[in-house]
Amino acid sequence: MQEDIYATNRQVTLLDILDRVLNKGVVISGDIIISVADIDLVYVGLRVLLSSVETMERQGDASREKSLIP
Amino acid sequence: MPFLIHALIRLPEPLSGFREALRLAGPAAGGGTPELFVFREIGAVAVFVESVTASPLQAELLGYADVIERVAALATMLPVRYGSTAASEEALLAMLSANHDPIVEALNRVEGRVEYSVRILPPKEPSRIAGESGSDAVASTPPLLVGESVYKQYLRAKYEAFRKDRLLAGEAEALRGCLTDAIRRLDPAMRFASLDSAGFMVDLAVLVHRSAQAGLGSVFEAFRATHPDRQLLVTGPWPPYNFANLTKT
Repeated sequence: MQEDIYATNRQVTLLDILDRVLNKGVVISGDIIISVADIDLVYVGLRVLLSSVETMERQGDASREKSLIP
Repeated sequence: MPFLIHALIRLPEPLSGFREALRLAGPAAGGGTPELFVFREIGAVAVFVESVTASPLQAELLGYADVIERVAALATMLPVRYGSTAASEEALLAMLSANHDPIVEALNRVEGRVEYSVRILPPKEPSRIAGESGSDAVASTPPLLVGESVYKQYLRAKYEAFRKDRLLAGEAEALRGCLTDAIRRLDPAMRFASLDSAGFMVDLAVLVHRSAQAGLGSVFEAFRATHPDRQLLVTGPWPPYNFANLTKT
């Protein structure tokens, strides 16, 4: 975020970023693969992310190796 | 070995300056360099990757978002959802060609605009719904539900939950209107999307012109002053993630 003037705390912003990257933005058609390895990312919800991020924060740096998508 | 598409853009002037700025910003997460693929007056920023994993790490997703932020600072753009890949440069250009008109239309919608996330948390105590006092609940209980039987208690509890939900929904609608009206006074062409996310009383994505950004702080401060018992969460500015759909809305 370049002018993150109103972000209230790091966790809200982090979740916002991850939610946007995974659930928002253009879904384009054509010879484009929207799913990754048979997982349709359109349906990866914030609930999954919330769970994963909380787990990662509990586990500290070691959590870097933890996947966001089960 | 696909191209991971990050953003669709309107080609800025001069194009060489854009390419140079993109290059100088450094590699994307994973080491690939963001490249621009051009079709007429639009383009796609994509990174060549060995593969796209089914389980992206947080760092990969943040790196992806970082490239989108960089592009947003340089051109009118539409963020692309993570995981959108093209098998080859030809496939990428074919996608741009096939979607040219909707992409241009969507770029027009977001030109010069940024997105903000505006949320209000629900009250922690149910009795703190605006306009409700403790005696309201008792006074509003229908006579039919008054009584001490288990049956009456059950119905009263159901009725009470329904009544509070309805009050909360009414207040959410009023708060949403209060915020959007105030922002519209800054930017009459503002757009908003009500996201209705679980856990938030109000969850809005608001698209405003850059010229209105300076006034937003006052709008939010005024809201906080008039609604001290409501927690307002605002993040932004964001690239227009919630307004990047290619179908006309």
